[in-house]
Formats: sequence, structure tokens, C-alpha cells
Amino acid sequence: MEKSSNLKQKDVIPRAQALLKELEAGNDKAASELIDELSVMKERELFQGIGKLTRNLHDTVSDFFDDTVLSKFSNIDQQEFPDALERLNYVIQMTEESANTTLTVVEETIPLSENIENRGNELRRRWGDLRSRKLTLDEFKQLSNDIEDYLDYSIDMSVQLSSKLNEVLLAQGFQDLTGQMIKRVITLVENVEDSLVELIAAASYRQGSPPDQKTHKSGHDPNTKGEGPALPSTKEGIAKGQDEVDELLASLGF
Amino acid sequence: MKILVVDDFSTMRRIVKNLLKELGLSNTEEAEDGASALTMLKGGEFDFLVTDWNMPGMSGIELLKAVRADDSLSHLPVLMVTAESKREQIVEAAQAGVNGYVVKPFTAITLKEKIDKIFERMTG
Repeated sequence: MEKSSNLKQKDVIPRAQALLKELEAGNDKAASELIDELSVMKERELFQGIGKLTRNLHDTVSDFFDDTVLSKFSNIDQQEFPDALERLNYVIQMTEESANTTLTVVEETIPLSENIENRGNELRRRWGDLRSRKLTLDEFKQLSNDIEDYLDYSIDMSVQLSSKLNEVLLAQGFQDLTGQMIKRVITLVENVEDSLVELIAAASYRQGSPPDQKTHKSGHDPNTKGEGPALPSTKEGIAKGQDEVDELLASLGF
Repeated sequence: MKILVVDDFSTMRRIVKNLLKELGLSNTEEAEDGASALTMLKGGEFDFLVTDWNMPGMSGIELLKAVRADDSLSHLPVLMVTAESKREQIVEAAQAGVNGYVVKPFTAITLKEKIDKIFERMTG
């Protein structure tokens, strides 16, 4: 920016001198025209500066996705970009499955609890009739049978409701799994940000200012820290489901 | 039977605690990483450890190794409940002395089976 200002001095100085002269002479109209001219020049310079920055940004971004620059400035593996996209898609898929599981169970459960309530209400009404001695002997016998049925029915329904609630409980496991996936994407974004800062530092060094000496983040040891859930597309070395885990452990004498 | 449930995600701790309750195991405590779990294990009389692998700070595998290396804890049964499903990781856990390994997402039946198996071995 400074360099371009210097280049423009030969245009600016004569106008500034002329402006001073016109102002001293009380020539307001001419002075105002000269001020306009100067501000147009200033704006043009600004737009040129913005254009240059845009160009730089574009080049930086293009360079960034170039393999060599990427590996020079960061420890980001190229494969991590498609992986991150797949991870986010997997998060959508898992949250959708979990929401659907929960909704299905709720839809199945509501009629069960409605039935329990309706049958209970009906028996309660007839029980009231019995207490106020309105029932015939036959009606009383029928009521006793129905109450017995209802007791079995309510035990059966309680078991069913517990099992449905357990399904809902397990469906919440998505929060842990998707959370682990999103954390990995956040780490990637942070690495990209760090790399961009380093690129900018290196670019400003080329333009004359010293580079920001920043040490690279060292990659963590994947084995002890854990890697989070495997992506569905990952095949090598991954145990698919509990059965394969059990097989592997059995082969180790478990 | 006092059980310590270790996972950095509170939702997963709640799920595991509720499933254990279903199995009649309601005396549970929670920790959110290996380091605080180890402190709790050393301080309290725990009979069983259920731990995740991938946690900030001290991971589950590091916790398992620390438990096995500690004279007062070395015989504590440990069940890993984790999304880590790499073969080399399962082998590592087995070599470190894990008593059971359940991969997420899991079912209530799987968890029950693995816990039953561990208890069978303890009493048998």
C-alpha cells in the first residue's frame, strides 16, 4: 500500500499545492473540485488495494489445497477433508436414526398407556357401581373376571413399557458417538485455522515483515488417546460390530 | 456391588447407569476421565469398573493399565464400553487385562451378557 502511495505522489502534490493556492485566493468552487479529485484518487487506490488482497486470498486458498503447501505448513492429512465431510454426514444419519427410533417407540407407547388408562377408567366406574350396590350377581362375577384380566394385562403392559423405555434410553447413545465425530471435525478446523495463520505469516514475510515463528502442533498418539467411532466406509482393521469383537477376543483366549 | 462408570459424555454415563439399574445394580458412581476415576478407585471400595476408551486427559486404556499396575486394584474387573473398534486396539485392551469389551452402539442384551460373563468368572 505504501509503495502505491509513493507512486501517486506526483499526481497528488501538484493538486495539493493548487488546492492551497485556491483556498488562499478564496476560490471555493475550484478548491472544492480539487478536493473531489483527490478523494476520487484515494478511492481508486483503496479499490486497487482491495483487489490485490482479494487476489492474494484467492492464491492463498488455491495454494492451501495444493498438496505440497499443505504438507509444508501443517500436519493435516489430505484425506481428512473428505473424512470430515463423511463424518458430518454420518452425524446427520445417526441423529436421524436416533430421532426416528425414539419417535417410533413413542408412537407405539402412547396407545399402550391410553389402553391402560381406558380399561382402568372403565373398571373404576364399574367398581363404583359395586360399592353403591348397583350390580347384579352376574355383573359382579363379570367384574371380578375383568379385574383379574386387567391385573394380568397391566403387568404385561408394564413389562412392555419398560422395554420400550429402554429402547429410548439406548437410542440416546448417538449423543456420545456424534459428539466424538464432531470433536474430530473441530480439531481439523482448528488445524486449518492454524495453518492459514502460518501461511499469512509466511506471505507477509515475502512482502518484507519477519515470519511468526510458530511451532507446529504435534500429532497425538492415536492409540492411547483413542480415535473415536470408525466411519462406515472404513474397512481395514476395524471390527464390524460386537460379533467380530467377540471373535477376536475369543481367538486371544478370552 | 459398587460400580464406577467412566465416560466423558454424561449422556453415555446415564445410559450405562440406567442399564445397570435394570440389571439390579444400582450402587453406581461416575467419573468423566481416567485421572479422576483412578483417584476415586483408590479412595473407594469399588467392585467393578465400566470405562470408555476415548477421553480427554487420561484415556480408558491408560486407566486400565494403571489399575492393573496398582497392587490394591489389580484384580478389579474392568469392562470397556467404547466406540474404538480397531483390531489392534481390542488386542491392546486384551493384553492390558480387560475383562470384557463392548463396542458402541450396543444393546442392553450385549451389556448384560458381558457383565454376567465377568461375574460368572469371578465367582467360578
